[in-house]
Amino acid sequence: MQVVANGVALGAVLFLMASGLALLLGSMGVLNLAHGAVYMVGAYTTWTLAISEGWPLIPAVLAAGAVCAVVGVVLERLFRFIPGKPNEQILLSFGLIYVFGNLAQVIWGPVAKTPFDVAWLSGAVHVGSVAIPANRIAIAAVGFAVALLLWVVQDRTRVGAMVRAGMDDAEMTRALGINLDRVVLAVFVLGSAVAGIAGGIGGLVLGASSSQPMDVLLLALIVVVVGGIGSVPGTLAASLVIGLLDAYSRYQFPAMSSVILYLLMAGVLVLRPTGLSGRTA
Amino acid sequence: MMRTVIRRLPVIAVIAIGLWLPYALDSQQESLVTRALIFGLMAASLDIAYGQAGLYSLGHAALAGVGGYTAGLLMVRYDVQSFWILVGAALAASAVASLIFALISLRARVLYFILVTLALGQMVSNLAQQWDFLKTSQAEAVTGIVMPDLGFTMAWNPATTLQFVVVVVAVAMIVIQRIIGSPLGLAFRGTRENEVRMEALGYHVWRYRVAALAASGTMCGLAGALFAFHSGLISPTNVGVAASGVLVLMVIIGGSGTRYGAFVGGILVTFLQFYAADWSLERAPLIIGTLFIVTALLIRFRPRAAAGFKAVFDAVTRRKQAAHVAA
Repeated sequence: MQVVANGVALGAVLFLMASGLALLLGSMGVLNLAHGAVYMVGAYTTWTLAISEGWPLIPAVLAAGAVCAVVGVVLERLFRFIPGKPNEQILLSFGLIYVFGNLAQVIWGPVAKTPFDVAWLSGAVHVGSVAIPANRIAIAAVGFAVALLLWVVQDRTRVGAMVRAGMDDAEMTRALGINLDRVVLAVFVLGSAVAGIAGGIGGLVLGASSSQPMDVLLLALIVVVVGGIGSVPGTLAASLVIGLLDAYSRYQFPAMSSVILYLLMAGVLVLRPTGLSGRTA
Repeated sequence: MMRTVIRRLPVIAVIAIGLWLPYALDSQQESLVTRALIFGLMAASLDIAYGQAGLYSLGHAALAGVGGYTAGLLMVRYDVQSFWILVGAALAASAVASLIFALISLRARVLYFILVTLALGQMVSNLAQQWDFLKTSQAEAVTGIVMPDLGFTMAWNPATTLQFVVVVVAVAMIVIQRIIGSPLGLAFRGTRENEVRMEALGYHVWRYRVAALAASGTMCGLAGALFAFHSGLISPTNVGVAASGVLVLMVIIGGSGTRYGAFVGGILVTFLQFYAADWSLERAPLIIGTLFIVTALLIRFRPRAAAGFKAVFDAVTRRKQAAHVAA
């Protein structure tokens, strides 16, 4: 039961990390490997505001989302220079990973920040014999709220319909008079803001560190590969499966836990190359 | 016969200069040049898959690592000293690893393929971190690797190491050029340019992609073994995603899909890393990262050829490649 609670909380963080990446990859075929760097910006911004400046947590996390939305605009400007070119996109994103990670060390020092300690989330909720830490409940709540929001936006609104149309046939969508460039910008902003919120709320258990651009990216990639792109429920399902599996394997055989995630990914690829939800890149 | 010799003259001259280099450098520079040559070979190996066959792999450092770990572990744990056995084992192990790598990753396509290679590469790195068999010291690495026994007397010092690496890298580069220049290499480029047309012409595209990844991974394994011999240790960071990323950058900066571009890119980036770290160890990633960003944004002014120095090589490499396509 404890393991399940941990797994669901981890799954929620994974979903927050991966959903922005999946959205971007799906909507415009942009492989933004710098996504983890945006997460890190969110984590450090939240740390600065909530821990260093003493803001309440919720405004601090929202502010982190806003800061990351601005970062998203900058990233979109950079990626616009090199549309549809994997070579250049890889080069650019790796450069951004290096620069962001190193700048974080310049600004916040080389030592990683410990998980954020927020007074009203430091307790635990007792369900029967199990004590579930309140911060994990908060993470899960935010994760599911964002999932619901993204799902409604993508599947139930006009903007979402434009995004899905762009995924299926960019040329035709443009021909119908939809300004796809603006849709892409919107997706970049939305995805980055979600990454920022993920960094802020994930900081409750993961803290903030300058190695996050790469670490978070890898976790998000596994989720995207397992869940497929372009479907919010697919990403959510994959995040929860991976979160539970990781919590369980850490508990059962800690030595091999991180390898098991990759084995799961390999297994999914063999059985369903397009991921659980079925769209292709 | 005479014409062949004349045509090969530039290559022979480059090898001769390489063998002569130790007489002009101090031992630190010799070590740097050795390292640069090894990474040049690694980048050139990656380019068989990356540039020739258009398979954007971000996990090749792991394949090189399989070679390096095989050679290193055999030497340190089982006391095998012969260069020939060690390199044979490294080649075999990395060939098997790249086949498995290909079978999994080729289930996915283009951008998705990149993600999968990235994750597979990181899996190897995690394995190296967590599995005690792959560590020989507290430092989470295989340490204590020395230059191997060639079967005849050879006094190892930085100068002879450099000369030895020049010979091995030259042989390996000739093998790579043979692969690229063969009908097989032409088929690789065909699958890169137009998969559907190649299928229609009767080529089994999937098989050629497996072949490209296997050839590229095996040659990477050789470079990985050389790396382990030269640095004396191999650690999880040498095989992780960051290392694979740098390999890809070498290929892109040198010019992917050209004859010698990746090799030159590998040498250039190794020098760059060394001097950036020499200038400031803490800020080196910042310098290198900025360079990558600038290169990525400027690349569109010169398609398929990144850095300015590539323009000089363009005349040579392009013409040769064109001749191959025509032939």
